[in-house]
Amino acid sequence: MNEEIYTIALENALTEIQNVCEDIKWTFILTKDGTIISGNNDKAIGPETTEATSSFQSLTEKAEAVGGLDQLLINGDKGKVHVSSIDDMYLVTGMSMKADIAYMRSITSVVFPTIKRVLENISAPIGKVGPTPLKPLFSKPLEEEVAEVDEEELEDQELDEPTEEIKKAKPVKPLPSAPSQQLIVDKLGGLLVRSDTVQVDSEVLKRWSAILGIKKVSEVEIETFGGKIAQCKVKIINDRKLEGRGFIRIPDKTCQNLEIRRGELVRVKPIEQEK
Amino acid sequence: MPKKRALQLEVEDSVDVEAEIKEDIGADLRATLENINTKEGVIGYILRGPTSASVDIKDPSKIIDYAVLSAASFESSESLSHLFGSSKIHSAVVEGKEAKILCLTIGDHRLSVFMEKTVDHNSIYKKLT
Repeated sequence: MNEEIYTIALENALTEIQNVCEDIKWTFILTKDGTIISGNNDKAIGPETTEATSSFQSLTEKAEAVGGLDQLLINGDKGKVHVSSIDDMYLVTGMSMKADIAYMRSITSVVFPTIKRVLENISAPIGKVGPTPLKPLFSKPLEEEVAEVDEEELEDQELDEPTEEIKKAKPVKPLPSAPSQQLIVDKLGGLLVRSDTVQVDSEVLKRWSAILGIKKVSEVEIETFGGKIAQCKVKIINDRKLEGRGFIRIPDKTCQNLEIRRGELVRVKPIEQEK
Repeated sequence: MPKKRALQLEVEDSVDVEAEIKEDIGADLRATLENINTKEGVIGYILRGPTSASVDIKDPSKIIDYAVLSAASFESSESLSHLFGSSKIHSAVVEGKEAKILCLTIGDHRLSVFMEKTVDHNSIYKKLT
């Protein structure tokens, strides 16, 4: 996975953890190579932090004598410091004296590894065919599959699985066996930004067109992990720096409607607007 | 000349008293540690005073590694607590995958108690403080 995306996602995760636990004063991640990733608290990184992490890295080496460092809890006179090992990283957290360590541990040992695993999982589909990992996209050649799907079947499908959002929106035809792709949200702001249009990698759009045998994908359905769904027009990402990195750029207003933030994951699939 | 001798004696006496107090703390601590060391799951301890040190680790082949780890634990704990602007550490628990260490400072003694992960380090902390 692209390191920049990974860092953004981890920064967001740290910020969210800080939002959840008020007792957390500062937090940062220390990677194996000594890189420090911090959340929204920039004060976490300074000369003292660098010195502390250097000393901590020395401790991790010496801790091989006890099978490698798993956790460290320091009770100081002004607060507590908790360090937990997450695969090849360390999550370092500074807390107030009254902080609930058990609650903190539940975050570090359950929530954070889950976030990390999700990030690792999404790295696989980027740039590869097979965006939906749970089942193969096509068991038969594409042409046969498309031919078998007629209007009636499509209508039945819509009746079987109705959603509020789909009911309210204009009638749409999900493209046959439409592939979905998990993408990372990046906010799109500015005066000339249309609130009904999102931006996706050209590579992703081309792949969808090829798989579905259509000339152009003009609309997509965005589904959040909270179950919110929106349909938007789609264009190619116009910022070269963000091209090919698995982003979906969503206008601020749509982000608000979907209750999503920058760095979160959404499932995106192409749809066809009925004429 | 006699005056000078008397002065020397006074100075020597005051140094002895201070050293005796420190020695008492060390002696009490050692006695408590001897008791803790008999507890199931406790691997041993390293106690460092300003001028002396006591080491009792059940597996002598690990003494050097544990001594280095003990020093690194204190050093790292101190620098991490500085991020809070904190200078005093009440205790630190370094948890490894196989064993854990309770580190604390008592007076001018630095103590590291090594134990298996199943041992309740809080009960040991209470006995020591």
